[in-house]
Amino acid sequence: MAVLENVYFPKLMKIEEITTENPVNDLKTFKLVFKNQEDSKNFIYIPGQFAELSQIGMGEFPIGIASSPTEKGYLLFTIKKVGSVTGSVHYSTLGDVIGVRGPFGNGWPLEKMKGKNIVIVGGGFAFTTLRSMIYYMLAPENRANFKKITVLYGARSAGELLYKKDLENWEKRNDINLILTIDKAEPGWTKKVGYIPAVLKEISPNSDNAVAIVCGPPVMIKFSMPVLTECKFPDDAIFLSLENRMKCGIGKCGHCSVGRMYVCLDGPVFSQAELKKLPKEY
Amino acid sequence: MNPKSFEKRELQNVLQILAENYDIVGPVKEGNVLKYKKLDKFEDIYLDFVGPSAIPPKSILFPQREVLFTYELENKDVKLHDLSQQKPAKIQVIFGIRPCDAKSFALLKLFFEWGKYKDAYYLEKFNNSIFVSLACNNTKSTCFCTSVGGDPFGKENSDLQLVDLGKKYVLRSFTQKGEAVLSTLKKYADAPKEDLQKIEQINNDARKSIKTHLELGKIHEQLANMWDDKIWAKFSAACLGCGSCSFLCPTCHCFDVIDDRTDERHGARIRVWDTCQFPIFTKQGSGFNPRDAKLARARQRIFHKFNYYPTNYGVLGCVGCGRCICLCPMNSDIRDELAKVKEVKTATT
Repeated sequence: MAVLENVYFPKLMKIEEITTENPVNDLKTFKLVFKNQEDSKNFIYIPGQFAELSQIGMGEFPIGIASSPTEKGYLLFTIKKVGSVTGSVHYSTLGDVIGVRGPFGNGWPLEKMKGKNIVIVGGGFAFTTLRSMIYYMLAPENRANFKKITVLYGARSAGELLYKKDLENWEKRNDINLILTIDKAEPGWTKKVGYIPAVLKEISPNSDNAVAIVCGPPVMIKFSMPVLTECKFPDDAIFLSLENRMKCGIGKCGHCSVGRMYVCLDGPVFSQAELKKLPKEY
Repeated sequence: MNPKSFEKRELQNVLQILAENYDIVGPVKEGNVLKYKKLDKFEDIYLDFVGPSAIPPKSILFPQREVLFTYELENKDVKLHDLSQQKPAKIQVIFGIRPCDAKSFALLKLFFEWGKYKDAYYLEKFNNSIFVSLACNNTKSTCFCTSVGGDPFGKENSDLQLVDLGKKYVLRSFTQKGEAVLSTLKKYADAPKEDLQKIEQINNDARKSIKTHLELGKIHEQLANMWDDKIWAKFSAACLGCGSCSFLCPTCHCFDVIDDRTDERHGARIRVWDTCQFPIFTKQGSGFNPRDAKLARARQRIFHKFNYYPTNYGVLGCVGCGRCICLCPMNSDIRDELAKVKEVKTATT
């Protein structure tokens, strides 16, 4: 009988670059490169998927892939220090080895997004897979597949916004409309001030031939959804990414089950229509 | 091949013959507890028990603690050693499991190989195993296999079956793997017709001895309309959250994965049994817990086995072994719960 592939066995990567994303230093972006070229070729992913990263000896955690498959030769992960494993990763230095398993999950619905106007609503450090989606859409070989791109991205304060260099670049482009907002006014901030649902209502995105992608903390999602519904986005044109407790990433350990589905396997991306059919266990 | 019959005192010799080609795992008594272990001395084998063993044999193929891989940390480098492909020297014969337990191994296999990703650890072991069930001449008051599609002489996932005829055993095969094993026992006579007729009779008597008759019908459809029913609060009121029901359930398969350090530089990534009945099972990194309420966990147990399994895989996720009934310190009885579920009037009833 053929040898069964072992999906629990990580491939090894090296840390090539570490970028601190916020002033309190608990959000860092890690640029990882596969030790083995073969592994790099085999890691084929789409925006919205996640990987299971290992600090060997400490543990493993699921994390959205922040890089786009159009960025060759490396993977980006933005990791928040929340516990012992992520804390241990935060103390790692250049050249240290990180394990990776994946890519897992279903990713953003690229087929449903083709030829549509795209509205992205992102909050806080949930923006990671949205960075992947935006890079993917803006890549020259892909841009023509999508129509107007509107991105609303907000955080508690200016310092908490991720990918500040990318945001600067996107603001300069005319093929993407980027709207940034922070919760409270602060010196030096000349852009919008207000919670995301309020700013979303102000923007009132056009739902004609459009798909909405929402990714952020539960409270942001809870108050943004009615705004999108008011703007006449149908439930099957609004997509969210769930963040249940995941462990194995492959639908076997049981932790991420929501009703009869597994977030790691059938998700993490679900349409609002699909979510309404699932029990509220997320 | 025809079934073989032999005097009971020949059992050790039969096992000795099998041991030439196979490793034998079978039931032994350790103090008061029946356990399944690799047998070196066949006189230790203990087959005089009624109903399923308290501890299910699932740990033979799905250990409570299993090493996934070992690792060494050297300066800035890491070495990993994959343990999923370890092939044992001999195929193992898992001997003397109840038909409900034999069926449970098949249910675990169904789950672990379902969909895009396969669990190499369970499947490698399963594919290297031969299952010999011990038919149930008698049943316990907590047995309800016949209510969930099973039988005291059930054949599902039994390569062979041993039937106790009082003074003799009959060993019959149901699969090609079983045939291969029987062919090594040529020195024993074919079972005469009277023995085979006696099997039928004992089977019927065993079926009649089961006092539980649940008409589950389309229970998964029934449950689909009962998510917010008051019944879950009632069922969970007495629950302590000890997890015994799922740890000792032969079809439960949830697990946690942790890195277990031997010293600063060596260790292993292991998986250990886990249970949805523990409050922190679904607790997220943010602190939010979607199944914070006990009723949600009680509901999850019933839904998983009697709604999600049929919906996702077309089969029930319970073999009716009754261990959860025997072991619950609060005397929760899944049969009562299922009967009460059936009584509830919903949109489909």
